[in-house]
Amino acid sequence: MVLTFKYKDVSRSNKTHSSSPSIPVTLFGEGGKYEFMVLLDSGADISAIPKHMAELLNLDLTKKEEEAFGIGGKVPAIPTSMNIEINRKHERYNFRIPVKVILGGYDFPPLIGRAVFFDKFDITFRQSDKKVILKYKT
Amino acid sequence: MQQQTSPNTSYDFFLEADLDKYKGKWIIICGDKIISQGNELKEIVAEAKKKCGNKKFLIAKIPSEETMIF
Repeated sequence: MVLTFKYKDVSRSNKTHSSSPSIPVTLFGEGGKYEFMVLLDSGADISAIPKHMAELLNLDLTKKEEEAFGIGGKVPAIPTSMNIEINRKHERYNFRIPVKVILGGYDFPPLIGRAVFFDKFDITFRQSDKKVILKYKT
Repeated sequence: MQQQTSPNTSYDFFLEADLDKYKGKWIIICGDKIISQGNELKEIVAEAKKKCGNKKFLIAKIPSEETMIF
């Protein structure tokens, strides 16, 4: 099954537009199951979410704090994992992915990085068509 | 087979809506309405559960211009 998602248009204050490859997924942990829009980030080694989202999902935050590195510099983070599900009519893909919970009060859209998720799907970013295409690898 | 994905109306609404005024906020969409918005995720989820009942809702963070991606 091939899943195609449109990019979301976002306007900027300088009257330009940008578009982002966001997709709807269900994330769940001990705290429940919620549908989120997540940003597919092919430049990120691993997924990342803000702390209050991890608390909502009641993810395990007992592991030792470490640093996460990116273009924004380094930030404190806790490594953990969460369940992710893409559910489409008769198709359901459900697996567990590693995620870094970013501490320090940072708040940002959930980012789905390459670890595990990009191994499960062949992912094509059609920038000019403003579409992202996921093909599950059997 | 290639299939155009439109999982539910909340997602369709998210794609089509002008969400500029919510920049920097979390929003929750139930069907074709934004039923809750704010900075405190747990609070708006609690509010959404009351307003949306047993229906599924969609949570999105609308990035501000200053959002730094790690």
